[in-house]
Amino acid sequence: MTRMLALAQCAAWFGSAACLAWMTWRRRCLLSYAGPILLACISGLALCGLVRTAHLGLAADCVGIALPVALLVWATNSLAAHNPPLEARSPAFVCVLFAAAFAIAALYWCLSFQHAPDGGWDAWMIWNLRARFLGGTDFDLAATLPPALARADFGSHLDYPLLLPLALAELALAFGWHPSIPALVSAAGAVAVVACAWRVAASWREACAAAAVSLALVCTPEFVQAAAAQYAALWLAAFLLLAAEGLLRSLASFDDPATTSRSMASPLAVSGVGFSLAASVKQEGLLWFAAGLFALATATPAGRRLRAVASFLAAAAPLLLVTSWFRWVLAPRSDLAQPLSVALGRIADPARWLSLFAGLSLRVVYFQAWGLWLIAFALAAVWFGRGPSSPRARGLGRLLLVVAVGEVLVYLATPHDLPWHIRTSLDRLLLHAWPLALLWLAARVMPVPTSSTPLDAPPRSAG
Amino acid sequence: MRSPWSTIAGLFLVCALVGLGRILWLSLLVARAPLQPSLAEDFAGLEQALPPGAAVLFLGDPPIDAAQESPGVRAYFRAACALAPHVLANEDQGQEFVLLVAADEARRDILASRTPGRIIARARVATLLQRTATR
Repeated sequence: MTRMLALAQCAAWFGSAACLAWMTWRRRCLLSYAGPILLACISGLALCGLVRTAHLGLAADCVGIALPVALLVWATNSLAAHNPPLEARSPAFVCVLFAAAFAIAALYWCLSFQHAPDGGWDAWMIWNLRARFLGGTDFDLAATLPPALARADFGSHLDYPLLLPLALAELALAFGWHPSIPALVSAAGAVAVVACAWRVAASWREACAAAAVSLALVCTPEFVQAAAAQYAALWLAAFLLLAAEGLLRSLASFDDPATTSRSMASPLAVSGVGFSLAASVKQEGLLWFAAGLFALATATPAGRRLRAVASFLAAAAPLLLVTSWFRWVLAPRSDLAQPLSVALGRIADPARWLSLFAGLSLRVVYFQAWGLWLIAFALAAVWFGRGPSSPRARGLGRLLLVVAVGEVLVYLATPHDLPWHIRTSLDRLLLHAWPLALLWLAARVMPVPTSSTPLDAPPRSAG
Repeated sequence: MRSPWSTIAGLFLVCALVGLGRILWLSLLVARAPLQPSLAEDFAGLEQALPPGAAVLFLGDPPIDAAQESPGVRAYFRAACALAPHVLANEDQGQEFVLLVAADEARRDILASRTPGRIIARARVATLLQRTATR
C-alpha cells in the first residue's frame, strides 16, 4: 500500500512535469521553464517524504498526489493568461558549441556512472546513506540519526539537511533502490542549474547573456565532474538561482513607480522560498539565506523595506522552521560548532589568515578542475567591474560579497585542519556561487539601464 | 567601438574550448580506469542474512581512524550505506553480529580467527559473523 502510494505520488509529479514540459515546448519556451519544473519535482518529492516522516496517514499522503495536479492547473492557467517569452535567439555557433558540450558532458556522466555507480565520497557517505536509512526505517527521522554514527568522530555529518535524501528515499520507495536513481537525480540537478541560469539571463532580454552563461556552465569541468560524482552542490546552486531570480525581479520592481505591494510580493515570495529550499539542501544554504536577506534589506528603499523583508521572511519561514528544527533540535551538533570565544580567537589569529591566504592561493594555481575559468573570470571581473552598475549587478554583487565574507569567517573559525578544509570544500563552495558569479559578470557587461531604457526593453538579437 | 560582448565572447570561447578539452580528456581517462564495483556487488547477500534491527559491530582492516576519508573510514561508510538501515557500531558492546571488512579474504580470515563466531554470509569485501557467545 505504501509503495503504491509512493508510485502514485511519483507518477503525479512526473506526469505533471511532463505535461508542463510539453506545453512549454509547444510555446517555444521550454528552456526557460525546465529549471522551475525540475526544482518543483525534487521539492515535491522531498515534501512527500517529509509528510511521510510525520506518519499522518493516508489523507496526508494523498496531498502528495493532489498537489502536483493543482500546481499543473495553476501553471496551465498562468501560461494561458500571460504570453510567455520566446526563447532568446542566440548565435548559431554558440548553439552548436552548447549542444556539443552538453553531449560531451552527458557522455562523461554515462562513463562515470558505469565506472563508479555509487558516485563520489559525499554521494554515498552523506546523501545516499541518509536516503537508505529513511527508506529502510519507514521514514523514521530519529532512526536516521543512530547514536553509533553520531558518536563517530570521523565526520558522519548527521546535521546536514534532508531535502535531497527525502526525495531519494521517496523515489526508492516507489521504484526500489538502484544506483541509477541518485545518478539520474544528480544529472537532473545539473540540467536544472543550466536551465535556471538560462532563465535568469534570458529574462534580461539579452540573447548573448543566456547563451554565454549556459555555455560557460556546461564547459566548466568542475561542474560536469560534480554532477558525475552526484554531489548535492548542484541542487543548491539551482535553488540559489531561483532565489536570485526572485530577488533581482524584486529589486528591479522597486525602481518602477507602478509597482504595488501586491505585485512586489510575488517575486519576494519566490526568493524567500528559493533561499529556504537552498538552506534545506546543504548547510551552506543558511549562509546564502542570510546573504539574500542582507542584499534585500540594503537594496530596498526605506519606505518599502519593512514590507519587503516581511514578505521574504514569511515565504521562507515554513521550510526554514522545519530545517532549523531538524538541525538544532533533532540532529547532533555540527562538526563546525564550537564556543563563540574559541571561534573569535581563531578568527583573530594572524597565523590562520596567512594559512587561509596560502591555501586559497594554492587552489587558484591548482586550477585544473576549473580549466581556465577562474582566471578568466577574475580578469573579466577586474576589467568590467568598474564604472556604474545596474540594480541587478549591484544585487548579485552584494549577495556574492556577503557569502564570500561569511565563507572566509567559517574557514578561519573551522576546528578542522585549515588546509585540509580548504582542499576538500573550496571547489564546491565555488560551484554554488559559480552560476551567480557568471550572471553578475553578464549583468556588468550589459549596458546600465537609464530612465529611457527600462529593464524590460525589447530583446536584442545577436544572430 | 568594439562591443564588450565580443571581448567576453572571445574569452568565453577560449575557456569553453579548454573546458571541453579537459572534460573530453577526463572521459577518456574514465573509460580506461578500472571499474569500481557498486556497493550492491561488494556487499551482496549480507543484508538478507541479517534479521531486522540486528546489532552489528564493524571490524575493518585497515581499522577506522580519526582521519576523514582514510581507507578505514571509507570502508566503514561503504558498509554502512550498503547495509542501511542496520547500524554498524564501531565500539564493541557485545553485538550479536560482526561485520569483517577487508579487501582480500585472507585478511578477513585473520580478523575472523580473532572473533569467536560462526560465519553466516560472505560477500566480495566482507564476511558476516554471528558470535557464539555474547557478553
